[in-house]
Amino acid sequence: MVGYLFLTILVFSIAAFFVGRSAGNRFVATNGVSTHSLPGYHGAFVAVWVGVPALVLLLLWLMAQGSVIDNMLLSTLPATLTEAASAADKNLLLSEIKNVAAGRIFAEPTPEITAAAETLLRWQQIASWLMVVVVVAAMLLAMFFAYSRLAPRFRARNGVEAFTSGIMIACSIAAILTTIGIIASLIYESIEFFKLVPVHEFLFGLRWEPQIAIRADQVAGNGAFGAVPVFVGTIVIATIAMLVATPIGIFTAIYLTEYASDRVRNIIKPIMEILAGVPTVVYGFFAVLTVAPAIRGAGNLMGLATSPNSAIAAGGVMGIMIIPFISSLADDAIRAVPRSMRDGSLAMGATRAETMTKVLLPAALPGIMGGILLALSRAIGETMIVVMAAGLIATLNINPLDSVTTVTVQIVTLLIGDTSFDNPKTLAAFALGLVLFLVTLGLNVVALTIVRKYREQYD
Amino acid sequence: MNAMTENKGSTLVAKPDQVVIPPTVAMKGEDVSVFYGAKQALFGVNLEIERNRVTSLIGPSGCGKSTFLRSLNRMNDTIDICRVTGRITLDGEDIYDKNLDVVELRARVGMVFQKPNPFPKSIFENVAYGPKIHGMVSTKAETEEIVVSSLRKAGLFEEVKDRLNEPGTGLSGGQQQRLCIARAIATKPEVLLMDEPCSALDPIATAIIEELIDELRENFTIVIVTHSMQQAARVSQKTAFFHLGKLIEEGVTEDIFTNPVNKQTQDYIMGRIG
Ligand SMILES: Nc1ncnc2c1ncn2[C@@H]1O[C@H](COP(=O)(O)OP(=O)(O)OP(=O)(O)O)[C@@H](O)[C@H]1O
Ligand SMILES: [Mg+2]
Repeated sequence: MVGYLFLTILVFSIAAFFVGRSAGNRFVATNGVSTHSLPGYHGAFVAVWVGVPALVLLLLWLMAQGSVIDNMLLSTLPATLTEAASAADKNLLLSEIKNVAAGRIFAEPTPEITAAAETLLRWQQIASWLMVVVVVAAMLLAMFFAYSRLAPRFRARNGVEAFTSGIMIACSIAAILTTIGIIASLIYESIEFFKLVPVHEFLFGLRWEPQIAIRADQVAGNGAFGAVPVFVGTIVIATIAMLVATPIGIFTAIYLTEYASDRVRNIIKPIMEILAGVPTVVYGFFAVLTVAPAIRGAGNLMGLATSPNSAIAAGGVMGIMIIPFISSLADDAIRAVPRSMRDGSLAMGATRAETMTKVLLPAALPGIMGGILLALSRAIGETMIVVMAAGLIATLNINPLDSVTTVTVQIVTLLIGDTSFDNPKTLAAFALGLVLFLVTLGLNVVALTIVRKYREQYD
Repeated sequence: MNAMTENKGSTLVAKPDQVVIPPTVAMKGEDVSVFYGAKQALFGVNLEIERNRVTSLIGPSGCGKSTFLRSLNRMNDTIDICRVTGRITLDGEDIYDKNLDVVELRARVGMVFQKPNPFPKSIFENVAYGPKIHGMVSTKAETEEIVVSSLRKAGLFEEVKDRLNEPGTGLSGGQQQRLCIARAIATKPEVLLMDEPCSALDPIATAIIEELIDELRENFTIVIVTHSMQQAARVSQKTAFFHLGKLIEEGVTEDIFTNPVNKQTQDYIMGRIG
């Protein structure tokens, strides 16, 4: 029913478009160029008026219909059933009625319930027909209104323009509201957590043992929520990743901008893009199945004790993943240095390497720094690779051959399995998430500020 | 150096009956053609650049002045699609020879660009750039000496002596251009190429730079591209007129401006083409 109604709205809008456009065509035929808007705009204007209000109306109707019917239904029930009932009981009652109405009968229903179920079915029938009538009437009304406004000098084009910008504003507001919602929930849950575990203990405590009992019958430790080992693990892995990605990324960018011939560039660039497009889960099993055993083997050869899921394997693979970030931003930054700088240096008799190190890189440095910071925030927030390849136990150490755990890994492990949202184990995930969010947000802001400032220098 | 003594009475004021010692040739282009991809931009140009003279290249936009200038220090090499044929010599040496070191050539043939392009470094570092990369200086004192003397020659020292450590990009347009000239002459090139060095400048800054060019002539050989007839007449001793990639006429500046042989040259100078 509802599906057909959506289809009807679409068909009506399309029809309205053609009606409006033919009116526009008539204006153009009689008035020529003094017609304000092209026929298409007249069509779009009518179509928008027919389609959009009806659509909004329909959505509002669908949202309201359920609860309105529920309330009406409750008021028809005999007072004996509803008088003393709590909200939860009423809900139970309603869902029983709905089950009966849908034919899902588990026990013999009381006559009151059966009667109510029949009423419900009847009302639902009426409501949906009413909805069709209202929506179609709205469309006809809108059609009449919009069509009556069409005239040779009518500014249909501006009307459509206003509507388009309205849609764009609505879209961006949706994105902003989502962000605000996410932040609010993070903050709210974190506050709940900090009621159970003091902030200073979380931020400065050295023991992280979140596996506490959730149900009374479980056997587990008392728990400790000092996040320092987790932060340190994150820093170790991110550092390794940056040590891999920064030099490779920058040298790649230098090679591509200054040395590579067009042919070579056309081969390398797509490959770098493939690197950026590999799903992180693929990097993850590359780290677990290929890199980690190789590093372990090499470590054993040299007589070093290497953990099977060493930080260096996870960090190294993560580094490879973020190379394209750094190289493409560094590439942009070096290219953005005006050609006149390069020519000026070459004309002084500098070699290309001298030009690069003495003029281009210093000039591009802010842009490159911005790229590095963005890559760093990506590395800190990366989850899949470390979930697969890094460790789970939070031990406080900075040995890259040992196993460490990261903030993202801990968030994942805290939230899988048995969870209930009022104990510190689960809530700790939100606190970690909040810290992660603040750190990456800070890095991004700094990075973008640097990049923007530097852009201004030459433009 | 006999060229120096010869300079004292420049050709501009030389009377026909005076004995003029023939100037020595610093650079010479023989049958120079330049191609950008399939498009030919210069057609068999023959031109001599005389030592300690100012040679100006004039002609309507797109006629190949910059192209010719850039082929004199092989800056055309930086353009992938550009190809140069013919022969260009510096002191009789073919500069397009396989064994020639381009980097060294550019140290000997300096260039000042149309738009001032100081590096985003301090004024001091801008001027010290060339001497440092060419190993002309080894101590700080030497560097300082060369920076100060170059800035002095470019007529900029007095204006910037208190802020040598401030960025060169913070100077005014005219100051920046003089900084670029100082930077170019710090490596002590034999030839200085200038591509419309005054096009971004106001008349006062232009006058300063023209005066400067006249002084620099004592120590350098200068080739200047300009769109201003008056400027060519004021600063140069020799003028070459290009049109559609061909060298139409060349000669003593005074002759070109007062008595052009070619009809096209005449039209251009009178402002009828270009
Ligand atoms: N990088 C390039 N690629 C392709 N063609 C070029 C390039 N540079 C110059 N040309 C062409 O070569 C011809 C000569 O250009 P050139 O820059 O030497 O002219 P110009 O005399 O300096 O002009 P202007 O007075 O406007 O500076 C022009 O037709 C131009 O389009
Ligand atoms: Mg030019």
